[in-house]
Amino acid sequence: MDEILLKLVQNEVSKILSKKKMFLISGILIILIVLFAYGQNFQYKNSLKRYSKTTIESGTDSWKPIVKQQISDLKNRLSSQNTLSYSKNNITIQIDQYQYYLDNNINPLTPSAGKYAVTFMEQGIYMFLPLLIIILAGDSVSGEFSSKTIKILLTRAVPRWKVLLSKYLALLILFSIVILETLILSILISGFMFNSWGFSEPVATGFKSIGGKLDASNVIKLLEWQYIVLVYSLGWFVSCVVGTISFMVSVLVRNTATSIGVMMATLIGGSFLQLFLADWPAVKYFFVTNLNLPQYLTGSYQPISGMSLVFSTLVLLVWAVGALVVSFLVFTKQDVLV
Amino acid sequence: MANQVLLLEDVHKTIKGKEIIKGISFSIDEGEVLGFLGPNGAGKSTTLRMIVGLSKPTKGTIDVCNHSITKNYVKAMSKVGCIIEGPDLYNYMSGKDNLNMLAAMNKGVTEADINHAVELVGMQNRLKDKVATYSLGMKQRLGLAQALIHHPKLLVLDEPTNGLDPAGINEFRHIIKSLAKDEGIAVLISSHLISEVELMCDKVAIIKDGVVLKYSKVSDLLSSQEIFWEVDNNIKALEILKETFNVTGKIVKDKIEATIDMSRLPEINASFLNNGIKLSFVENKHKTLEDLFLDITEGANIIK
Repeated sequence: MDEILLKLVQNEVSKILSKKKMFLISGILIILIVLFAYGQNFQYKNSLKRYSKTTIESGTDSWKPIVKQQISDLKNRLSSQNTLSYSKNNITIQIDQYQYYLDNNINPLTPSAGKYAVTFMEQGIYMFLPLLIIILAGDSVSGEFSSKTIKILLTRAVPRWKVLLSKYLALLILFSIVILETLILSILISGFMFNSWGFSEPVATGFKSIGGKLDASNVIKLLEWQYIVLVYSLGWFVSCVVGTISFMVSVLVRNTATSIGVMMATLIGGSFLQLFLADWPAVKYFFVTNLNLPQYLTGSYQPISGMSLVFSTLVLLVWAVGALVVSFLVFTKQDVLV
Repeated sequence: MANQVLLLEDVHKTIKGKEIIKGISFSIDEGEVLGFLGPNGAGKSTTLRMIVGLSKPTKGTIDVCNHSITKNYVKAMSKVGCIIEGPDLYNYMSGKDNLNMLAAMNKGVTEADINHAVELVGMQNRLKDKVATYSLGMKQRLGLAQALIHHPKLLVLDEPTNGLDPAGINEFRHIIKSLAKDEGIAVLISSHLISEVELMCDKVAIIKDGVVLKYSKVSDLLSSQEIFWEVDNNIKALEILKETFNVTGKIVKDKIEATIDMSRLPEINASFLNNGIKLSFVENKHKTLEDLFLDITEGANIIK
């Protein structure tokens, strides 16, 4: 690798580190993971208490009556008139899935560090994690304009594309660290809280819904740790995409506050748009609508027909490549007038 | 002949449909200090930005050590050190970290080079502190060190003495002068402190509205002067000027004005007296570069 580029990436990483942003992100992560783990533990114990009154079974199979109870709850919702027709589809699939768990003796309920890590990523991937990523990427270029340091950066014997590339690579490194940190913190914190690791528990994935019916023929049984790797890889991919788009915005607006504001508005606004997804299919090409990749793995997730793991991955990839192209074109051509 | 370090030829710049720079040409040789003067909005900063590659000329060429800044950016920029509009460094890092980081961006800059630059600007003692704690004067020094670590051939300084105290300005002047004389660095300084330029620079370029109005040696500028005389016979005095010295003068408010070489003034005065003209008052119109500057850029109307 190019020696200068390597040093530039080093510079950029140390710039971000000396801004102490990683401490901020770690702090937010720890607080949220602790609260979330506590909440989950609390919820599990509550439901255990609730259901244990109606059943005499106990021991290692204590989860089974709960799942059965949940199936009957879901069936009630299915027959309710207030349930929308497209969510009925999802509920049917969920019921089939629970049935599959019962039949195959897979425990989906008892909290373990492995399950917790997956749930945390599933819940965080479309809003919380992107926000952390924006904290990192939002001022990458605009910060240099705000502080006017862009002048000393661009008056060196280094072509502009190399300066920008080094910033991008540094961000990719830090995104990876954030994902890794999320994984390690959520496993450690929840592991000590639940006192159960559960890495080798079986997980079933690859459910397919065909005509509103669950097709279990393609189900792949994984171990929990394999599933964690899968989900966190998707989390990494989503973070990189959101980070790349945030990077483009920070090239375009030249002001840190605006850059972060624009990205947050896009994320939150985008999740509003998701409401219209059923009636206005164009929304499915918007990147925010496609962030929830791990949900596809459960099989019971299809926001509207035509959306799949491959579809969403492709949409995100196109957005990221587009954002990179725009970033490089604008950055290498623009006049620096600060 | 000394080597040419910087050459601008017919440089134009249009920003948002407005032509800011309308064809600027000048050059700087090795070891030469050029002062770049002009009122606010004249296009000084825009020109400097084009020289250091922050913006691209719409038309014309800029060469640094015979490398075109647009076609051979990396080679040209490896010869340039600069401070553009204030020494903006990374406040959240120490001075030393700032320098190390910037040094890494140039090939072959050693620890010794960094130390040398630091000693030159006298910043050894505060180098480990965060830049945020520095005074403006210290930031200026660090800014200069940053511009020097890679041994540039051309030093471009925009308002470099802003925020320095009188002792600092004096020291700064000596640093610049010795860099130019001893190491042969060509220096381009833009400033609004004209007295500074007069003390520091060999050549001066005065620009207004994107055009170079005056470009010559400081010594020439100051020796070629407009003089006015108060005499009892204006017509006769004008005739003498014309016939004896081949200088065309004019009468302004009962006085005679003419542009002459200062060295000929005693001769002219003697000639007036010998021809029976009574001379009551002689003065040069521009005593300093500042007067000259104000005269040249007179009526500057920034908003056009």
